[in-house]
Amino acid sequence: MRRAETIFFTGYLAVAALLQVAVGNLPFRFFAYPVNLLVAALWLFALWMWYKDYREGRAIRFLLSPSMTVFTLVSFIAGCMVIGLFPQLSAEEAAAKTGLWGSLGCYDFMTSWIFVSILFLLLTHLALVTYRGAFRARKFRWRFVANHAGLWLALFAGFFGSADCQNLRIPVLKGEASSRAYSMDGKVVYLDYELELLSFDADYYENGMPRHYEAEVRAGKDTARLEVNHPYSYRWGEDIYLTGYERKSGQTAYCVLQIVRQPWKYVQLAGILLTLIGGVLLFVEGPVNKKKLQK
Amino acid sequence: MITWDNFIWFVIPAAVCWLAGALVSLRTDSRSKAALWLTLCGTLVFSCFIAGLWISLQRPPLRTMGETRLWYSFFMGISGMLTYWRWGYRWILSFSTVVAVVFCVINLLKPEIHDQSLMPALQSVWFIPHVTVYMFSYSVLGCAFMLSCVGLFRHEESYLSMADELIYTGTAFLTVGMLTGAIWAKDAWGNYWSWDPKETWAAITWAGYLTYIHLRLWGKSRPRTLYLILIGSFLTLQMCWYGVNYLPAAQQSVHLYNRTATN
Repeated sequence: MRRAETIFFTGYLAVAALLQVAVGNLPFRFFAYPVNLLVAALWLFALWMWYKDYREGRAIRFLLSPSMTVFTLVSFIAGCMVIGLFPQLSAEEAAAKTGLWGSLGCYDFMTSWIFVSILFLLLTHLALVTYRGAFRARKFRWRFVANHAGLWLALFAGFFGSADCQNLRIPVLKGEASSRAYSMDGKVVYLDYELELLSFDADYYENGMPRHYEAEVRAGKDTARLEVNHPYSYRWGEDIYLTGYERKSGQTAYCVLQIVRQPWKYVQLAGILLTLIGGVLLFVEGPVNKKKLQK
Repeated sequence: MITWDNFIWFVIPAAVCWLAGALVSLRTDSRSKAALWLTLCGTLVFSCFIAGLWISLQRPPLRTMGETRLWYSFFMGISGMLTYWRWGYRWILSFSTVVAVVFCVINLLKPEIHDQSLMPALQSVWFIPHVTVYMFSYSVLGCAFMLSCVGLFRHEESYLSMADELIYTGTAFLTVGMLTGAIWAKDAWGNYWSWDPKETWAAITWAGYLTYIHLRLWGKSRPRTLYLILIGSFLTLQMCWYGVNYLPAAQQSVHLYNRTATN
């Protein structure tokens, strides 16, 4: 079994690396709605059927094994280290990088086949472990469920929802309505509503640093007051942020707003809150040891 | 008004109390009440400085590196005391005292900026819970780090059960710190998680401690491996806390608050 495990882990990463070298980063925009929803549903259904019928089989036992936990955690750490050590560039800049690190996708590692494969295995393992653990009556069960289901939900929504995320910038001026926004790579995107700056106010520290600034903005038919840390929720999955402003001769020339579309954010938040509960329980109940298990 | 100029007049009595507590605990076989009281006194003196600085700055002192070191010393005093009170290890107070005093000395020699301004991104209800929870977890994990070094050096397994208690507490607080940070990041920048270098190193640290917890549950790893994982995770924690500031990959990080804003 040990040898088979090693072969699987090495092979899994090798295939991902080969794919990366051969075709470049994962075209993750392809997985935008409804493809992501479909893939996620199929994947979960297949896992569930597989688990139901073959839970005693070698493959499922392996997917549920402690060595899988350790492998997914350690390879996740290794993947994060690549992200933490290599400067992460835009897709175009990263694609232009040559050499070993460039062809392995290290400069845009979040969407590289290697990191996506690691996350996928981690999600698969976590889904199975959570499902099994949820139906086992034992001590620390609810802590286990909160931590594992919470982390799974947050990761799942981040993973499958990323293709639906949109991050736009739009400069807004006083008395001039606009719906012309720009994506992060500079493409023009027209919003289906208009934005207009109604008023702006800022005050400063003695060293010239802004202490506080806020803008009143018309968004479609609504009037929104925007501040840093206080975005305005325009509609389901879409928020408007005040990110900056430009001053000319003491007058505010324009404000820069950020439009964030993240339809999966509610699932992510649910996962985060559940993991928060798990974190508190981790402190309250303390370590798992034999004495406690015998109680 | 208490300012950084008065810092040394709080550090001296606090350090004397901590040191006296550490010496008393080293010389007593059982758990010493005097050592606990002395450590508590030192921490109280220290907390007076934090409170005074908070009032005179008109904002919580949590922004600059120097200010987070202040909290680290403070929590080091507290978690050293709690560890001693709970398990009675004689040497733990000496370690926590040394670390707390070293951080005070760094603050005296290299105060960094302590100005009054607080940039708008940091003006949030999440600011205080996020940073203090993190600083507390760092100090608890710091105790676990010292314990692992001793365990590794002495080739002894017995420190692991105590390390477990510290790691569960430290990881719990690390989790809460990280997730409150995620919720805050959504309000401030639009994303719960954006793989910024500081966030990435926080994830590495977290996953490192999770690996330890899972290996311990599995029960098949050698103590040496486990101690090394704890030591390694604490090193990645240093990377997350201040190491990223020096990392070329992180010069665009949104989490660098020591720069002066230009607009």
